[in-house]
Amino acid sequence: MDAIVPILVLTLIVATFGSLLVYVSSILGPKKHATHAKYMPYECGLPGQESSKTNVSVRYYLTAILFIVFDIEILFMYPWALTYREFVEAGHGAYIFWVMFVFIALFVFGLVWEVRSKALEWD
Amino acid sequence: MAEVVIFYVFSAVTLFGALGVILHPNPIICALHLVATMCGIAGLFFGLNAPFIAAVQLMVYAGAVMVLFLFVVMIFNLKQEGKHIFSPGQFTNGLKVLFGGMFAGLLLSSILFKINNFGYLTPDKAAPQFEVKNIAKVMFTDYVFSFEILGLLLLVIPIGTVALSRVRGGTHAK
Amino acid sequence: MGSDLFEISVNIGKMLGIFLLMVQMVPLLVWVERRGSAFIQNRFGPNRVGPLGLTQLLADAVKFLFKEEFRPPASVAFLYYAAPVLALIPGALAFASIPLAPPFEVTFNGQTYKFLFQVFDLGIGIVFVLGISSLGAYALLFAGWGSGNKYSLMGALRASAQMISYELALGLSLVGILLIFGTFSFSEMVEMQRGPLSFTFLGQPTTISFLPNWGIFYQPLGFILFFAATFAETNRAPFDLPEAEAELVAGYHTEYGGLKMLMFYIGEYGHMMVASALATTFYFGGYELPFGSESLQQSFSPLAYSFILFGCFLTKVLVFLWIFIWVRWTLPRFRYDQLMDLGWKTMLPWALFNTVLTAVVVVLFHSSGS
Repeated sequence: MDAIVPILVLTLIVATFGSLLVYVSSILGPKKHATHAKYMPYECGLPGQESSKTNVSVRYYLTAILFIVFDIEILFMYPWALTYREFVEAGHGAYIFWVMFVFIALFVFGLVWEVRSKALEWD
Repeated sequence: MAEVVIFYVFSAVTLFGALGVILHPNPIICALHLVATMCGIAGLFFGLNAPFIAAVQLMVYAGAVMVLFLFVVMIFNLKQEGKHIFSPGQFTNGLKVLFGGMFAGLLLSSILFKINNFGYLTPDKAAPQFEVKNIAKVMFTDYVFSFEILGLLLLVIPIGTVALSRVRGGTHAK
Repeated sequence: MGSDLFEISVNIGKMLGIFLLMVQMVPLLVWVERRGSAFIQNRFGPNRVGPLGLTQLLADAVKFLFKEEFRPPASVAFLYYAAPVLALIPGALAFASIPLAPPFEVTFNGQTYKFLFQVFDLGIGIVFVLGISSLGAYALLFAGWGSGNKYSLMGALRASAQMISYELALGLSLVGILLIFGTFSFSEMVEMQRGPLSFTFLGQPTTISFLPNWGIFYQPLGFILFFAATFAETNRAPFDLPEAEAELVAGYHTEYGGLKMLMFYIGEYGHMMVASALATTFYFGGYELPFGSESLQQSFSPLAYSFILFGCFLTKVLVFLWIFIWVRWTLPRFRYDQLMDLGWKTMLPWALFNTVLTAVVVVLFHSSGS
């Protein structure tokens, strides 16, 4: 709660600093009339072949959705890791280990299945 | 005082983002507005003394789910041709307003119902700080079965996705 | 922020100071990078402007300021201008949450104030940094999609896919550190790494006096995975596929020039500094000196001691920054499929193995004795 105020203030400071840099460079720089060629999207000297709004490979989608699932699984490991030593010191080490071992076994099964199904192949 | 200001700042961000999602004609800009909404919700969690939930909100929703949304929008190749929410002279405009109004009324009446029956809930100042360790202890003892079932659910999601998106024939075939 | 004017002004000054420290490191690092790469490749590097070419930075800054302002008409104005500003924010926020030295006390007007040597302490350090840095992908996506150039878009897509893939290995390699320390807070972790290496071995307290109590001795595999993943997160070579100039011109910042380009650089070097500071905090004792901290603490005032430890922290961070630069000019770039294979099929399984191994070791070391 107390920490959110500095976060907000710092975000404001950084955003102001950044916008100021962009603004200053737009004032100080020379203003030239640009030619038609300069206004084209940069391409290695040739006229552009295709628009930038082309389709994106479905692999990006697969990567993103697999990332979400694994990210959530990892986030569940964080509270586990945080309390692990307390459980161990209370004498429940084996219990808390097997709780997560089952979870990690499911994680590994999913990962192996995806590798075997070639969902993670890029070519 | 400070918490009131924080609440209004982040509520404004959340609502502004949410309005942008439904009003902007370009789907990619809509998705970016949704990112602002997610960040605003994370800020609201911060204001409720739950920094862990806030950070998880940032990681999962703002960081992961929204990247997925952006990729999906780009896969569907939605070009910049503006599709406004209310195209002029269409019969369905009235229906849109009607259903939106019904949903808003549902939400509002449920909130009013809650306030009428339970009064305004004020935070308990004497309550201990939100602790991740307390959640973890409950989650790994009382609710351990639900936790393992959740692991199973998280296993099903990628398998389903991979099975659905595996293309035989078509442009993605080898 | 504080209860009275003095506390608030000191806190704001501290905030500005830490942010400017991060921004000011960038020209120095650019100089080190150029001279270092020249040294590695048996060249001279910039050596004309000023002694050792040090004022080259100043000349570059002036040049950047007076560059022509240009926005390609195919771009989306708001995204195009917002992207460089957005590139600064995650790095600055993450760096602000890392403790640079122990808290110090100041007496002013008969009142004693306690100041943290960091901008804010959330108590959930690691998760906050991971959450904030996952927003870093948006600066790239803004730039890539907003500049209306297909190379920019490809670079941004590659960068974000790469960042999310390696975020998994990064997050998982930190589970081992959490198992060892049992806290999210950076300052508590650093406190635990003070003194000589001591642990409970099969229920017996053991001390190895000639080694400091650093995380690297508990988590060697975790450190390697973490450090490799941070290279990918910062888009540095050998993982700089998003700006692979042979195929993508300059990746997501193809259409940028002048100060806007420089701001992407500040963002990149800021991420490098955050990564180095995190590696120092998790695995190399943070701001703690490896030896002789007791005698130093007695012979200096608390404020001076804080600044000595700050120097120690900065030294460790600079070593890591040099390793970042060294690796960039030593290793060739990956191919994209190799990069994804490394992240998903090599580092993720090893990080899982590291987690399970650490959990087993923690149980074994504790259970046998007591």
